[in-house]
Amino acid sequence: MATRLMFSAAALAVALAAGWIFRSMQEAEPIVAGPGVTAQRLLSASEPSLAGGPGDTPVFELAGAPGGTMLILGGTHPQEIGGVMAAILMVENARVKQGRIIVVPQANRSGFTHTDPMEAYLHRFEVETPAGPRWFRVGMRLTNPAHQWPDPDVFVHQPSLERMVGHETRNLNRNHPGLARGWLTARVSHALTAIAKEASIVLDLHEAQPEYPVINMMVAHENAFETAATAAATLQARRIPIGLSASPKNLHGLSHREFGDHAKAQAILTESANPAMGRFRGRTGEALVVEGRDPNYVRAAALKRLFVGFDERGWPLKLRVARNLASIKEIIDAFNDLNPQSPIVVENIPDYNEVVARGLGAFLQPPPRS
Amino acid sequence: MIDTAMALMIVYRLLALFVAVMMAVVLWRERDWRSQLFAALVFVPFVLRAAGVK
Repeated sequence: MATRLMFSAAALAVALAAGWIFRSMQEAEPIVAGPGVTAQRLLSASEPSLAGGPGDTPVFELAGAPGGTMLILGGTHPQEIGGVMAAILMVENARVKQGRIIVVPQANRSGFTHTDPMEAYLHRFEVETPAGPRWFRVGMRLTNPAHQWPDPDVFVHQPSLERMVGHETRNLNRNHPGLARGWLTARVSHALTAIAKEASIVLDLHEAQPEYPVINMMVAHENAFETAATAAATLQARRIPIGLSASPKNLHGLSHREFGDHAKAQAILTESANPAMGRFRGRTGEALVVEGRDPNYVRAAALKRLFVGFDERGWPLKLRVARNLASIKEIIDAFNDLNPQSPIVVENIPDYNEVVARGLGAFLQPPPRS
Repeated sequence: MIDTAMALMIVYRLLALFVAVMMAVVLWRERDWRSQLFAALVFVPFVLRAAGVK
């Protein structure tokens, strides 16, 4: 009787403690609307079935005089925080004089509420600002299985009928253009596609492990290739190395393919180098996630196993975010040069050199008072 | 309105709850302390899944 009571009490205590930790991961970090934000809504305004559920996510609009429209997505894969933070810095700093920029910093909101088992990921990290620390979530690539389950054995993408491994049914960047009456991830994609249909150009901000060949790269749909090539050339001229790749026509579900095919927008995806995502990484602490430093990757670079350079300075978050912000600026400039009839005129995008020199905290709004 | 996805999730969580309850029954029925410990260990993830937090 005593052991039964002891094990029952211990199991309940562990379940309650673990439950409290998992519940705390559902808390959303504050994103502060900057002075340039002219409208704010939730994604459920585009897909009502998402209302009140784990897929609903903030949508920020920065608008000026009539012009072109750009959609910026961060957090399609929630552990790719260089894209998330670049989108947040746009929301908190940019001012649009002409045209419109729609920003969804946490495109797959459900993916921010969990981390993969056995990966020992950080749940959150802090950035120091002049007015105090701001905290941000580190999520995972896929929708939380507590929100969408079970996975099929084979995921059949709609409408292409391409067959993929089952867990890709929870990968937002394999679900585009989405389904109105589908799984949670497909409905989130459907809502984003509806917004993309309003846009002339879509930019989806991603990151990848340094051992992945598509790294420090723009991947562009054929209708965006001229814009992306112009932007990439300008970035190279600014000594910000970036490659350019064409979106494969037979690889479906990805934003750079489906937003171009189905939303008729110029669709571009960017990838920066995030060592916290790689298989060579050591302890996934704040030194790796925020500072981007890892001795294993220094060794891997010496053995020529990586597709980017890697030394003791690593790939800090501020550098990756600065690259993303520079890409946004150059893509907008290239779009304006090629589409002078419907320009997007933006001010106050944090400058690459300033972000690298002063860090992210200098460009974040003060933490909101609780 | 309950759609197919929601119906499957409800079935899944009911199954998880069933396993959690069965583990509690096993924990109290078994005499060997090792079987009781294993039942307690298996109980935790299933009750979290049934509650929808993991």
